[in-house]
Amino acid sequence: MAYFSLLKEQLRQIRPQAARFALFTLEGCLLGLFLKEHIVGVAPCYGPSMLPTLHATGDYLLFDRFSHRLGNIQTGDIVLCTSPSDPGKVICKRVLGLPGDSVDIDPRRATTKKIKIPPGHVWLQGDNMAHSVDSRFHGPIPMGLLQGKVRAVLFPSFKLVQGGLQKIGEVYPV
Amino acid sequence: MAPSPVFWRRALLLTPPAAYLFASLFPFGRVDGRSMQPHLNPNTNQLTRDVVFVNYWKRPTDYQHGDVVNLIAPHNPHLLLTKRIIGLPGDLILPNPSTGSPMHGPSDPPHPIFIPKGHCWVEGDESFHSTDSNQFGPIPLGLVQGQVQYVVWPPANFGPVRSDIPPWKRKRVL
Repeated sequence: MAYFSLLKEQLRQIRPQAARFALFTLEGCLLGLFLKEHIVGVAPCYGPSMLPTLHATGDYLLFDRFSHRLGNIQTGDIVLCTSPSDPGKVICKRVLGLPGDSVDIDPRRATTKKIKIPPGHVWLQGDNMAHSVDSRFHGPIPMGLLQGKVRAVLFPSFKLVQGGLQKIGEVYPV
Repeated sequence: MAPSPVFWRRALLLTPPAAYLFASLFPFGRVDGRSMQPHLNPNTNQLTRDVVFVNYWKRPTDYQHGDVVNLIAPHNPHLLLTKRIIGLPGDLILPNPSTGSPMHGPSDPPHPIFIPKGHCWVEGDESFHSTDSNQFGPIPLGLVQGQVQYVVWPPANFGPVRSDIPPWKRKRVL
């Protein structure tokens, strides 16, 4: 009995600290969940479709989840997007056209066709045209499918991903 | 006594997580417009808006014919629509012949449309006041956010939202 009364006494002493600690932990968890759902994310990305820019064997990408909601998407940005043909898959492509732009569907073909991108859609294409299933196959993709804008490659080698269009020689010196 | 700077810092840091927690615990939304009459917003005066419970935890592959869903409009990523799923991947759908649909010309009879992999065909129950797949065609299932399961307000409407295709539309699903 003496042991239990001692334990009770100790519990009463640490109660304010324990309550503060629990509240602090809860606040931290909530803040973390909010950041993960709405602000930033890290995702692995495999496949040959973005080859000169990203490795085919996989890169870890750091992306933000608010740029596309605020309309901060430019031609040349790399974005993550839910696949139109499989809602469980995420694809990583480059934005090559915004609403109102006219885009060549496939300039390599002899008979090429231009289409105008309807409002609320974007034209996505992989950097490796030979091994990419993208807007040339799906058509313009609704902006509602966008998940985020890639800001950096974290692993295996860190590099910042700049938005917008750049000259190829500046980004990848030959 | 004025609140301390520590209080303001904490309040600023915790407002977004609190909003996030609130939105996850109470997934309710208001329905605008008359495209889902007579099931949602049955009043013809359009002064009241129904409050519905939306199930955001459903996987995109679990949707069935007749489910009422919340989806991002393909032509505007900031607009949420409430429609009923009429067709799922692999179905053949005859577009509604009475509402002039760009899916078929004005003179030629409507021809069946194949719903490709990962897409669905959505329509409002009130075909004459609805912007739906008859206008924009099959949409990716990735745009579907959740299933509208219950009407919560007004109390006269309270109850589950049944998932079945209206009988006059069934013969258009081939």
